[in-house]
This record gives sequence, structure tokens and C-alpha cells, in this order.
Amino acid sequence: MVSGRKNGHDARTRAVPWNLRLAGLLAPALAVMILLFGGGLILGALQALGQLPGAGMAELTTAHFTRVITDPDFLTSLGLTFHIALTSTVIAAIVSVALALALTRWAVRIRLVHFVLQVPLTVPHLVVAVSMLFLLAPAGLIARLAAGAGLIASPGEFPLLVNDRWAIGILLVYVWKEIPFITLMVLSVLQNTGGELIEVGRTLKAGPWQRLRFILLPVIAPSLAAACLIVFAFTFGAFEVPYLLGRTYPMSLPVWAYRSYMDVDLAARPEGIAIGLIIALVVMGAVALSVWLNRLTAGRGSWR
Amino acid sequence: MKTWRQSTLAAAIVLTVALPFLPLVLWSLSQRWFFPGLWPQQWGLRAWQHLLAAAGGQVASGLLQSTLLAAVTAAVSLVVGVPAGRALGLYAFRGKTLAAVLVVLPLIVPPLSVAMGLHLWFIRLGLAETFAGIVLVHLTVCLPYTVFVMWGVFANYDPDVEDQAGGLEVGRGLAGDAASGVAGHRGGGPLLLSALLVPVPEHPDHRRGPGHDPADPAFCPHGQRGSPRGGRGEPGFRGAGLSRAAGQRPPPGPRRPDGGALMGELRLESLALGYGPDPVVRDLTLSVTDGEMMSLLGP
Repeated sequence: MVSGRKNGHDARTRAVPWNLRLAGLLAPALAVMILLFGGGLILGALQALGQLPGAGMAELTTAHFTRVITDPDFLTSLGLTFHIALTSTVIAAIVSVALALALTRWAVRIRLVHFVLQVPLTVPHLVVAVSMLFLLAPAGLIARLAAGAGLIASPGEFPLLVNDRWAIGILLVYVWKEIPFITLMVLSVLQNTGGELIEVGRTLKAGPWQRLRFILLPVIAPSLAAACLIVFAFTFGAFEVPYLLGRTYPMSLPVWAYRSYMDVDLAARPEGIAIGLIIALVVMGAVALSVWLNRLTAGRGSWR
Repeated sequence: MKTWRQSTLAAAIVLTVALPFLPLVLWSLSQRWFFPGLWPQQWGLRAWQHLLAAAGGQVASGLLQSTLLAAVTAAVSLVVGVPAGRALGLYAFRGKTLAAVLVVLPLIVPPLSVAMGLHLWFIRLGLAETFAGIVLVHLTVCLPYTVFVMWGVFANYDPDVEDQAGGLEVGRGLAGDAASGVAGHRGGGPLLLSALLVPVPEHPDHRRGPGHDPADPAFCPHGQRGSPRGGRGEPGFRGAGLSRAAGQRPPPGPRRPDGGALMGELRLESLALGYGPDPVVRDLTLSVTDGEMMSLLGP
């Protein structure tokens, strides 16, 4: 198929249409994303600014945003959402690093563990949330175990772990879901480079703490940070799990947005969209902040 | 000592992963299960019977609908997303940062924020609650993921492998194997999602020999790509590339299911190769068997 003649022909004509070829590769995907993602945000912003198409409200107004932000519950909801996202990300990150280190160090049969670790990635959050309800509820499986052991006499004595004040049920679902994700991200780096560098550190008489601090953590830092960002962004914006396992008051921001949007009162819709956009802004701000911090520390060389 | 630790850790992982499935399975098999009881007081298949018999039609149609939805969304994501991932992974160009931001942002911004904005307009366009509309909404997340993952794969990928396969008149199947061998082997790249989400490639069909399969233009864009990394048109580089490919070393990644190496024999039939208009190799026919080293040195 590829003869010398044809090869040469292509080599000569190639230089001209390169940009076009590149555009051809990129354009369809970028067009879809600009149209659906950008369009969704812009149309949402228009609605949140009072532009209900067909309803004839032509004037731009920030009333919906101010009503949300000045709501007495706004700060509580924001705090709760931050608590859910940050706590679950931090716990999952710590456990994941320990787990990845242990797995590489003890050379656990990687294939089996890899397979088992991928199972939670495929299970929908809703399914895990329902099963946590069955496990942790006052009459759930764990409460029954406690009753069997004589620790509690009635369901009412069991500590509240779902729909609770500290969002423990929500955190557990997220931690169960996200630990495998972060672990696999970290493992993929450790398996490629970690072992040899650790050997080098050993021959240079680095102690266990030094090996962890100066070799392992820098090696896994980029992928760990990327994984944590993705997890934080997801847990900050997802509404299903808090909807199912959270308290009815205060609500996390995504639940509030969903409730307002689905309200029978159509006038509450722009408010829901405004909350959705505030969530998007917070998440983008967090990502921008972490990128900026990353550049700052990278410019300084090694940080101590 | 060591094995004891290993099995404890493995058991802990398996148990933790399995735990949430336990109440689901038990509850689906119970008829009556009141509080203090650790086991259902009365077992029964009522839930499953209802699901499979009474609501069977509904469940089946829902399952079909979901499967179709997932398949169509995945197919569109791949068709649109793989070329974009290839462009981002292989080439440096002006505006790449902007394109990268466009790809990453939909992964970070919650889909809830986007979907609420789209909803009203989907209603007006008659797309809401239609199959096409749901596929489109899913694309806002699935397409960026595809591009992102493929970007990571192609960032670790040497397009010369395709060229060599193309230059040796290797069919599509083998060119793909060589390519996935490279991508699969070097896992952790700048975008580590690739290593996570792309499983070790399976290779059901390695028997397709040279010449049996028409070279796919999509997989062997020989001479059509202006790779800034390739150094194409430099005779020395091409010569080295040729000898590397003809050197018959199977890529280290993929293995046949029977455990054998990738290729048993390489046959070249009437091979021609040239730089620009100057032919260097004309009508070359040779065969290399397993384990044999062979190199063609360029001018």
C-alpha cells in the first residue's frame, strides 16, 4: 500500500494542510464541548440573571444571586458542603497513600487486588448510599450486630450515623468510593518509578522517614494532587448522596440547588440555577488556587 | 511473616469492598426481617419474583434503554474524542492551553450546574426526555473524559511505531497491537488517568499476517501527519527507525493469550521505501523468524 512514490508525494504536500488536519482532529470535540458545556453555563447564567425566555423579563437582575447569598442558611450550607468535600477527600487521600505504600512494599498479588479495587469504581454512588443506609441506620445491620452483642437494647440507643449532624454516612460512602480511585492513581506511579528510587535511597542510607518524605511523597505528589482535585470537585458538586443520607436541614449546596430547581414553584428555578453556578465558581476557584499554589512551590524548588 | 501481612491486607481489602453488597443481597432475599434479628426471620424470593415476573417487561425495557444509552454515548464519545485526544497528546500548537482548559473544565465543574442551564433549552428544542437529548447531556461529561484519557495515552505514544508498521506493510491489526503495546506499557504519564482507566490490552487476534489486511488509513496515516516530534524527512532518523522495526523485537507489553510472543515470523514482500522522490529500497523480499535479529541500515 505504501510505496516509496506515494510516501514522497505525501511528504511534499504535508506541510500545507497541517493546521487544517489538526483542526479536523480537534474541532468536533471542542465544538460539542463549547456548545453543550459552555452553552449550558451561559444559558444557566442568563436564567439565573432573570432572563426567562418567553416570560418577557428583559432586564438583567442579580436578585436571585443576592437572595441566595443573603439567605441565613447559605453560610451553613456552604460550610456543610465544604466539610463533606474536604473531609472525605483528606481521609481518602491518607488511607490511599498508606494503602498504596503497603501494597507496593509487601508486593501483594497485584492482579487480584487491582481487580478488587476496580469494583467500587463501577458501582454507582446511589447503590452505595442505599446499602450504607441498610448498614448504618438505627435498625441496620451494624445496629443489629450491636444488639446481638448486648451493647444496645433498642434501635434508639444506636448512634445516629445516617442523616446525622456530621454527615458521617455521606463521608463513608464517598470514602468507600474514592479510596480505590486515588489508590490506583498513586499505585500506577509507584509501580513505574517508586521501587528503584527507594533502592537508591537505601543505598544512600536514607532512613524510612527520609525515604517517605524525600522520595515517595515527591514522586506521588502530582498524581495524588490531581486525584484529590477530581475527588474534591466531584464531592462538592454531587447531590445524590447528600440527598439520600443527609439531614433535611441544613442542606448541602447541591441538594439545595436540586430542590429549588425541582420546586413546584417555577419562580424558584432561577435560584436553583444560581446556586448551581455558585457551586461551579467555588470548584473552579479551588482548582485555580491549587494550580497557583503548585506553580508557586514549583518556582521555589524544593519546599521545606 | 510477610505472607501473613499480605493475606491480611488482601483480605481486608476484599472484605471492605464486599461489605456494602451484603445488606443488599440479604434484603433482596428476605420476606420478614425485624430489628434484633441478624438474619431474616423469613426468607423469600418475592422481591426477585416481582422484579422478573410482574415488573419484568418494565425492567427489561429499562435495561435495554440504559444499555443503548450507554453504548451510543460511549460510541459517540470515542468517535469524537479519540482524534482530539490524539491531537492534544502528540502535537504542540498555539491555543493548546485553551483547548486543555476546555477539556478539563467539564470534568471539574459539577454536571448539575451545566444540566440545569441546558434543561429549559432542551425543552424548547424538543430534546428534553428524548433519547438524543439524554445522550447529549451525558456527552458533556463523557466526551471530556474520553479526550482526557486518550490525551494521556497519546502523550506516551510514539507515532513512529505506526509509521514503521505502515512502512513494513503491516496490516491494521498488528499496527494497532504495536501501538497499544507502547501505550499500555508505559503507564504513568503526565496524565495518570490513562494508566488507571485503560486496562491491560487484550489481544484476541494476532494471526493476521502482513498483507492479509488492507492498511487502515486511520491507523496508518503514513506520510500524512506533520509531527513536530517525529523528525520526518531526515534520512538518518528514518534509517534508524527502519532498522529498529525490522529488528524484530516484539513490543514488551502485549502477549498472546497462549503466552507466546507477539509475532512468530515477519515476512516482507516486495517492500519499497523512499525519501521524497528518491527510492532507497526497491522490491525487497525477506523473512525473519522468531529470535532472529535483523537490521537494515540506511544510506
